[in-house]
Amino acid sequence: MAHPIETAGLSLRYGRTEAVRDLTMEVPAGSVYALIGPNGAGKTTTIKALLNLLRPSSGRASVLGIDSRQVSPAALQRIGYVSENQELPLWMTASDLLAYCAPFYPSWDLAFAASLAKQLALPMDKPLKACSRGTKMKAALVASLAYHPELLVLDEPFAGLDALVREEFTQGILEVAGGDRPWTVFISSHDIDEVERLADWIGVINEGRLELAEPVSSLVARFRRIEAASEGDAVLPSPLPASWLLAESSGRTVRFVESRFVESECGARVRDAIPGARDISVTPMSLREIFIVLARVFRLAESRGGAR
Amino acid sequence: MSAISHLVWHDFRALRLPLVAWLILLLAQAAVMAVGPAILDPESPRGVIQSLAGFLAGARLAFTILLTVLLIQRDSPVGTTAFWMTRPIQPAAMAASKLTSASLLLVALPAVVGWSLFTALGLPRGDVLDGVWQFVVEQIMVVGLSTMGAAITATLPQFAVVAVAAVLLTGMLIGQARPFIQQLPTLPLAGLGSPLAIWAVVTVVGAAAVLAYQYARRRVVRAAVAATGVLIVGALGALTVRPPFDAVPPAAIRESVLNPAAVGLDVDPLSVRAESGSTNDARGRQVRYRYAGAFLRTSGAPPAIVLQPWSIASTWHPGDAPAIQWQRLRRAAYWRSAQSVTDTDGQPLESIARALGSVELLKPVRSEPSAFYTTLLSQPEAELSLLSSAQGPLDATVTLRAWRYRVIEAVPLAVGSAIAARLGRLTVSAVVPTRDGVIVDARRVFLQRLTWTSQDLFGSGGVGSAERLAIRNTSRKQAVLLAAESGRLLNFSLVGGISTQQLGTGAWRLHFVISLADEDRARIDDEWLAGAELVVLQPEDLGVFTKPLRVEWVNLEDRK
Repeated sequence: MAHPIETAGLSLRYGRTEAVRDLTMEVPAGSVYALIGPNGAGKTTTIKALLNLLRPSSGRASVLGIDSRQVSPAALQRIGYVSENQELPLWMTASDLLAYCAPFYPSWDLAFAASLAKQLALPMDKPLKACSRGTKMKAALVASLAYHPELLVLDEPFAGLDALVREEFTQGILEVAGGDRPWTVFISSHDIDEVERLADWIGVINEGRLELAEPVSSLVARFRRIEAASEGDAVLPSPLPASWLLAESSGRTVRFVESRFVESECGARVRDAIPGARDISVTPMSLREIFIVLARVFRLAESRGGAR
Repeated sequence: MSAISHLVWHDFRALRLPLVAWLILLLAQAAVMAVGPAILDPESPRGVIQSLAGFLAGARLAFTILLTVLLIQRDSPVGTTAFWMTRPIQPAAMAASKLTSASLLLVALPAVVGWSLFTALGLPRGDVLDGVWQFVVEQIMVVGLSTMGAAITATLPQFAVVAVAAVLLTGMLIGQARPFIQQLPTLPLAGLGSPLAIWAVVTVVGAAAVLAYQYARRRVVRAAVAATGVLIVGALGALTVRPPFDAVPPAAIRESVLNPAAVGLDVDPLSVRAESGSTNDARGRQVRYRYAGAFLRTSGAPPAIVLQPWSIASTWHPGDAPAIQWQRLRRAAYWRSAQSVTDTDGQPLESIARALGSVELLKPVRSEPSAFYTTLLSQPEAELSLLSSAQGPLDATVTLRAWRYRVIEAVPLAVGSAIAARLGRLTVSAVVPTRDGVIVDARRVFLQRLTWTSQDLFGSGGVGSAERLAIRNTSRKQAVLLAAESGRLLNFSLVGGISTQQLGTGAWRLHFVISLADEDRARIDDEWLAGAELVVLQPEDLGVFTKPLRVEWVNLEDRK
């Protein structure tokens, strides 16, 4: 497999609950891939399946070309992992933690670990149990970057961190990304704001299904908030064009989100659907706005019995 | 530094505070064991020191369990969130490090403390090694069982639930299912040693396998099933072991020691009598028996040699019924039923007197060392009721075992003297002449060997010691045998009930009682005591031979 992470028809059940459903995903080499979705969408379960912490019910997954069921200590020497759920050895100081981890990694870079710790202002001699959540996460990050992993997996790394720590954490990742070694970052989050700066690929997962996956640039380019005025009371076309999301009308105004925006065709397509439409305004959307739109669309689809 | 030693080092560091407490506990227990006997009054009610010793032994057991659980659950193989799981740590190395840490901290360290304590207290080297081995087996047993529980649980409360379930399962196996289990064929494990040792071997091998499996596969349900299997096999192994009383058959006597042809064996016809009794079979049902016994007398042997019926094979001819065969083969049964005629101690005094240098024993007894009350025949009442007559002659072949006492050790009867005795070591702390004799107080360090069969598991066992204690004045050619003893024990271990040996210390009071006759009291004076020794005697086995025996009439009729 060419991609650092690939899944094909991956499913994973907890009893009767299907946490991940038929997930097919490819994480391109060298990308910073953000898997986003609401809480309980299946992000953490997917990551645990990738790292052989959970066994898939069906389908398959590979990490760095290795079947996820075969992810061994040798493979883990090439993978970094930071998770909000991970139980750190809290009796240790950050210094202890690094000393504990170092012998297991042939590529452990003492100088890099030291510089990273300094950059993150990580207190080295304070027991982790006495540290804030942010400091613990920074210690875990340093312990996961110091060996220059080919793949860094971050599972909800920003949860519960204050703004300053989030910034430092992000800087820590960017520091490595700016180096000369090729690597891939796979990050799961329900908080789009934090991954927006980092990610160049986005996957959106909901109820265990991967709803979309594409480069951030492509995603941002094809989503626009459209507002148009009609001559009389606005009436939404029926059926709505498939690419229009959350369409609504109010008085003479029609608003919707275009999910297949092409600048040269936008005006004509709106006028085709709403004859006499005028004053068509097109507003670019942030990743966060797109994510919120998609989340609302998914919720509406669920309330309608799963039809999308 | 290897991965295993790296992990072990970090285990030690992670648990440094509990380990300090553990070390303090071990040293406190050793201190109580060492100092306690000097404080204890051997005849006082249970006091603070004994309670403290019991508490410390219990605390050590609890700490062993707790530390095992902490050690494993801090890198738990259960769940998906443990730090080690996402680090390049070989599961086998992790399992090996946990076993190594547990072995060093919870087995080797207490063993070293125990070895140091009992060596310092003067326990004989052989007993120290035996005792430490026993202690190691006990610790391994507790660590092994705790390891399995910790390997399938993520938290202490979960472990507690599993532990309670395991205790209930074991209790059920040993209690309710025991009669049925004992009908199963003996496991091949029986050759390995005592039931506890076998249980410990099964447990330690099983626990290592369960732990390694859990770290490698992390399948809690399967590991729990395997742990249950280890528990069952271990308990079955212990229950189906039949520790032999005589692993090595007695050797035939050499003619240079005693010529069997010169020995006569007969029975005192007036002593033949029948009695009733009952016992429980393997299923717990009560079975009533009638049995006949008599005093057997030997003649022709030197006074120093004791001839004791060792086994008997009888053929009884009741009325006109077919002959009934009966036999009793093992020493244990015989040893308990063998008594001399008039010696209330049940021991042949003449042999003792000779061993002590042909002294006069200052206890007025009529020594008849060759008379033993022996069971000749035993039959269930149900079978006897089918006979038209339960009377008739009996022919038997009796195997006699020859032995004699010999002095093992003799030390001056003075404060500070120490002897290997009473399954350990006694150090004299006081010698007190009294109106009735002499009281010797001693500090005792013991390795108590319990002789028991698997039926006795968690029940009573018999303490096996055939030694005798005496005080002797060689120049006066007089000696006094130990008449009574009492004491207070400080047990080093709580699990002595399921082991074959138990370590401990205590304070002991030895009563060497003499006759109340004036002339005897006059003899035990300060001068007598100043020249006295404390002497340990033990029987020396000389070999066995058989003799025929004819009993003219054995009547097992119920006279009621």
